[in-house]
Amino acid sequence: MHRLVLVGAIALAACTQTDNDRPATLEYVTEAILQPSCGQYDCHSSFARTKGYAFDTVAEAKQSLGRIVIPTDPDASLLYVVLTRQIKRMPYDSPLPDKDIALIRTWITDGAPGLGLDIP
Amino acid sequence: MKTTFTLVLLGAVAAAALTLAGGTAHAYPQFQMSRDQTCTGCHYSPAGGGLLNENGLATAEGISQFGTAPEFFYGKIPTPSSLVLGGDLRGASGYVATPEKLLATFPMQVETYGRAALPAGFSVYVNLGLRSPEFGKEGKTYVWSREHYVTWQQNPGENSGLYVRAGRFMPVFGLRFVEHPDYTRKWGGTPLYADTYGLAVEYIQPKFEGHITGFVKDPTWDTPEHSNGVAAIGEYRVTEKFSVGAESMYTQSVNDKKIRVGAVSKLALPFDTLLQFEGQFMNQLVDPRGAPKQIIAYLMASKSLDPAFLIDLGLGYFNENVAIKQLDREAFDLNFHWFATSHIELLFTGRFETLAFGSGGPNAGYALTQLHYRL
Repeated sequence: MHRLVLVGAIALAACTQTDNDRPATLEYVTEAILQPSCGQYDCHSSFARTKGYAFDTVAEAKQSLGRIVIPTDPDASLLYVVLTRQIKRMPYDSPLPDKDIALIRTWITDGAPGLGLDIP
Repeated sequence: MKTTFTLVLLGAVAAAALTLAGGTAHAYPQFQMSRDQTCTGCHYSPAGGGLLNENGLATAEGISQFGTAPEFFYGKIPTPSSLVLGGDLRGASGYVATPEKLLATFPMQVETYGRAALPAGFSVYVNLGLRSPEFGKEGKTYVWSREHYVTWQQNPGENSGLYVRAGRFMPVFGLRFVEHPDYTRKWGGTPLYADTYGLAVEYIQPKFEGHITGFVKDPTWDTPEHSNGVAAIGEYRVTEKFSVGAESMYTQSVNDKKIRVGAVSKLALPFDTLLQFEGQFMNQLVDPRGAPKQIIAYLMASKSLDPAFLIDLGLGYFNENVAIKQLDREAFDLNFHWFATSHIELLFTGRFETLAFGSGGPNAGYALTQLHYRL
């Protein structure tokens, strides 16, 4: 029975889906995308801080992203580069959906609000 | 420079491999219904996982192809009846394509356990193991205790009744699969190392079991889990072959709140086949402008062969925001377990993962051979 409910919920959700109108904010990008996909246990958590980067809290992400984001220039931002390149692409365990990468690109293009960086 | 690059690459591969398949031992829910109704049928812990009790040891011996003495170090190290020792060693090797293609070999788990029975129904359970070092404190964190708790049990020596636990352990939630890459663990509230300090009240009977856990993040160091919360799950066994349950979890961190509600079910089919299902709906409140609603589901069919062989087919579904198109993931899993001896398990595990069935991004997958040695 609950499987039918789940299928129904998915179908209902599919009928009302929009394209990608999510908030391009530091908080949203961190908590909804980077933390669950990049900030777990042995990777970019505050604990392990692989390569010196942590994305599991907004405060940690703010510090780490400040070193790998160039506001308004996603193609020159290491964050965007490692999510899209073909070799040594991140995350290593399973790639991010294109829509998540597009939202991150929008956030950077908008000046990476929340990071407090000067726009070049 | 070349050496530095090689070290960085090896480190990245090891990190990727650990992310893919690093694990901790939990119960084998695949054995429920056909052999025992509850996790406590085979484990001391009311939530399953870790040390095996007398029946669990007998099961380990009974299902293995070359049954050996199942006790700790084959029974060669005698312990008092009130003290039980054990451990798990795991490592894996194989091929990953996520989507970069790599060959990887890596350790997964080095953990030992001890449980001491105390008077008046109390017991102490401590786990010691190795894990990746904490950044900047490498020497201090190679050895740690992922789990340590005190349990009071209403019926000492039995596997039913009321349990109260206090200490560090994983909040009791979901189907508690062994493999943490399973979507309902990875995305569903119990990812690897999400153990917290908590107080759990658990009631277990063959017909019904319920667990409620209140928990807080580890205050002593910066673990990957940053939330406090409460988790509850109840399962009712309608018949000996069919169970249904409901679950809920609320967590709150500095930056977000998560509310999960879900259902679990198990159905034992003829020919020693078991279907298990878990589905969750999660509402994540990030800030006033962001509230992604997610769906996490997993369906696993397991068939016992011989009985030293067990094959699992799993289907995972995760939608990180149901309001947005093409943010769903699908996993197609195949596991093949060989219980060679009472202590040795060989597991072949493979996954093919798609994003929106191939239209939302690159596909990924892995094929790994995992060796598990239970001390």
